[in-house]
Amino acid sequence: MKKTTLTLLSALLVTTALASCGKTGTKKVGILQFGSFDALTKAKDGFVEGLSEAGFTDGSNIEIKVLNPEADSGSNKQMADTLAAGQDLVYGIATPSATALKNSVDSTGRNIPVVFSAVTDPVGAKLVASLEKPGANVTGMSDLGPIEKELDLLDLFSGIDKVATLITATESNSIYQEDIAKTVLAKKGLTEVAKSINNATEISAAVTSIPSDVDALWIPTDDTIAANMATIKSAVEGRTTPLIVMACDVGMISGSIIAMGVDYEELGKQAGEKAAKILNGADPASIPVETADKSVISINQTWATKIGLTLPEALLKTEGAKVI
Amino acid sequence: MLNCVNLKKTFHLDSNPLNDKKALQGVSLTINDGDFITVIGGNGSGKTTLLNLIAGVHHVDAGTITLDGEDITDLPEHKRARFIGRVFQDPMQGTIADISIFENLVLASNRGKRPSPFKWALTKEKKAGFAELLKPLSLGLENRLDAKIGTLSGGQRQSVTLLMATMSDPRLLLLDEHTAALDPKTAHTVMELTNQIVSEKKIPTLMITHNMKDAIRYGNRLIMMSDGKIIFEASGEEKQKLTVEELLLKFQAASEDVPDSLVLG
Amino acid sequence: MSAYEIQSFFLSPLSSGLIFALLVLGVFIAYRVLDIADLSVEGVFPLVTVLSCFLILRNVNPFLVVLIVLVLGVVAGIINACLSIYLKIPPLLSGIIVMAALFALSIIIVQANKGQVNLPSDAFTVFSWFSNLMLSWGASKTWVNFLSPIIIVGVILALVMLSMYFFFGTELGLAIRAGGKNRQMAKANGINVHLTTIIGLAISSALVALAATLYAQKNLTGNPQDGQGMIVIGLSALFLGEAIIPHRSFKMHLFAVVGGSFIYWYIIQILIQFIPKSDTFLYLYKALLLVLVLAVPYLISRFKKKRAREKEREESENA
Repeated sequence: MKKTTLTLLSALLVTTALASCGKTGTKKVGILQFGSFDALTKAKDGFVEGLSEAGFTDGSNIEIKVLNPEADSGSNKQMADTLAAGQDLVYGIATPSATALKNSVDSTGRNIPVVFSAVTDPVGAKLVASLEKPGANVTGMSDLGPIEKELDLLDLFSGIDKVATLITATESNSIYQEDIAKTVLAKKGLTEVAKSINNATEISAAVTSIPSDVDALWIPTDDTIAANMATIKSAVEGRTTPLIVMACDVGMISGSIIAMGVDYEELGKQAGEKAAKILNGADPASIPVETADKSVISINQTWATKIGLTLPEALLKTEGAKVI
Repeated sequence: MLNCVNLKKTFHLDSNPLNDKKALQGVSLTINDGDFITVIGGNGSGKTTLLNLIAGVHHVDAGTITLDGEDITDLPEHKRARFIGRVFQDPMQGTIADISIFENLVLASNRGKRPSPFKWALTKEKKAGFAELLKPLSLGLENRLDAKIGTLSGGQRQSVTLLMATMSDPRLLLLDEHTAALDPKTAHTVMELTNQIVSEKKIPTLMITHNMKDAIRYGNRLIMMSDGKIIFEASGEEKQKLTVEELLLKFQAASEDVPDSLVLG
Repeated sequence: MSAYEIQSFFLSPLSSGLIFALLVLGVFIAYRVLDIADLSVEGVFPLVTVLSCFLILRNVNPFLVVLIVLVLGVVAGIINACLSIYLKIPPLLSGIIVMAALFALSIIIVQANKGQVNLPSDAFTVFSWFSNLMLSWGASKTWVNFLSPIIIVGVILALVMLSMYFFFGTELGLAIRAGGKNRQMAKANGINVHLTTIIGLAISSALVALAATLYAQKNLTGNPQDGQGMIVIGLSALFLGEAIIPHRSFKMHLFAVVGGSFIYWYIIQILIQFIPKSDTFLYLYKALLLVLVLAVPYLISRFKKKRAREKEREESENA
């Protein structure tokens, strides 16, 4: 039995090795998407689009390979190793995947470029030396949104005193953003009521536990919460007093009043543009890490009316706001 | 010498006091050096509970147990194991099926001693010693020391368990219907082996049996239990002269349902 | 495939397999030797990965970190055992309680570090120490990077397996095994099964901690999410190894479960490398492949038995 398995395996190896010998001149682009969260999938689609707009199309002059470990850290590492060994450029979506790719590439010593997106704190994650001058083979897009700008919108309301924050405690991006929000709220003289959850099943209880005298709820670009906005919506609707829900990803508008932040598809596209530049010869060390060109803002007036919240005129007239 | 004074034990099966099982309702028993006591009684008469209390499997509700003057009433089971050897009815219970005869014997030989992380458990000397111990059994097991106990038949396992229980010269041997699960021929072999070991090593023994003939034939004392109490005792010549019919009558006098196993024995 | 890809295909699952072999050995002690369904693994693992990175970021010597997490593992195992022994909490639940507590601790540590504890590529780890040693001997950089984790973890694994083999052959080791196989018999033979459970779980959690710190030091990252699914991986590897490798003796059983870790990671590597669309269906393919790998040995042995029976019949007819 051992012998047959070995021969089978080696036969498999040889045939696929031969099969995967691509056309010369095609660059192999590997994508490691940490999980199937909406934001990350958008960042992947945007990336492919960004490359295509810059002249790199899958199947003609590039070959794209997408791997998704479904948030399993062991498989994440294994996939990163595989991509680092065989690709010409790799793209990591979310901090764990970007980190794994960078370290795997370092291990192989091949020095291939690593592009990332959906990483909120690239410097803290040790991906780059600084945002302006990444310094090595890694660059990409940070999804840090305009947190201060969004919280400033609360000034348009009257009588705002307490603001709740909700994060998933295992997501490093959320922890980083909450830290920033904490400082901004302190600066504005508002009291923070910090809530955190470990997984989606705790969302409802966390929102329900927010005291009725709290005026607003702020949520960062949190993958777990973003995937469960319906739960946020019904939990907020179950309250006696309305809550101004503010999210940092426009994809979360279904369960928020104001959603202001980066567009992940746009983020992915810009990452794709950077990748294209690199494929054309640019040095990643000098390509700065940016956050999305424009921030988008959506306002859910329909839902506001439903929960008895009157939105100030000034808010509805905010530049660039999409009111639904 | 083991002295049990007024042992009581009730099992609470659930929160309803009507469902309490009064297993022992005041049993006093003295086992002297040289005693080989057979215990008979119907199901639920408290025989196994008596053995379990002596072994320390359960705490007593009332009463005391002293061994050679030392009060062991509250001593935990594994500490009592130092001087008590046990053979259970189920051949699977007294040994570990998954490991070898050798390993089981080592465990038994170390009974009561602190297992050391610095001493090798399976030594050549021990193996040779065990082979000598197994030879008199005439089962050929001395050549199969590395075989897993699970490969042995019920009678062979009980023989090994008996050896394990008596190997380190215990001060008391407790046998709980240890031949009940064996066929009549094997049961007889094991019973003869038991008698031989007990008389050779002079171990005070308490043996529960469902076989009234055996209860009369073996040992120097007989006690009959019913409803958590000892209702009849016989020793010496009086015991030898007993017949199965007499015992059955005594059972009926205690208006106890006599199970078929006792009658057919 | 390029030389790099071939190198990675064979060596990457090997180094994962080696590190996880330590975890599987820990799982083996709990699940097989002690017969306890211990879920604390999913808490020990992330706490240790996060703590290891946290300490190395603060320039704690990586070897000292290994020592610290071993102690941490022992403590976690003792607490887990005591919860079920002295507070009569069912063992499954006590494992969950320990997991939840350690998981919470890992989150606290990460939050204290602004959300992550990634290590820079020049961090001082046990692997960087050995890599530098190898480089000073003149080895080439790529080979050093691949071989450093393999050699270090390989040596550690060999030492651990040797120690386990010797330990479980001592009187105490035999007593621990007896307590796990037949509690009643063990007690009747003077074994303090409470003590043996405590020691067993302490060793089990210490091994998980060892695996976790090596994982963190090799991958330069630690995350509270690292624990998710660790028990599934550990048990999968355990069952895989037992199904494929014969394990009649204790020694062979050790090899079987360690072998299972390698088999598991090579299966994952094959899936990643060769199955198209494995990004969306990885778990489905993994399940199917597991069924295949487990069913094939069984079906083969049945086929062999059938052939043996037929042969016997033939021989008796011809006799």
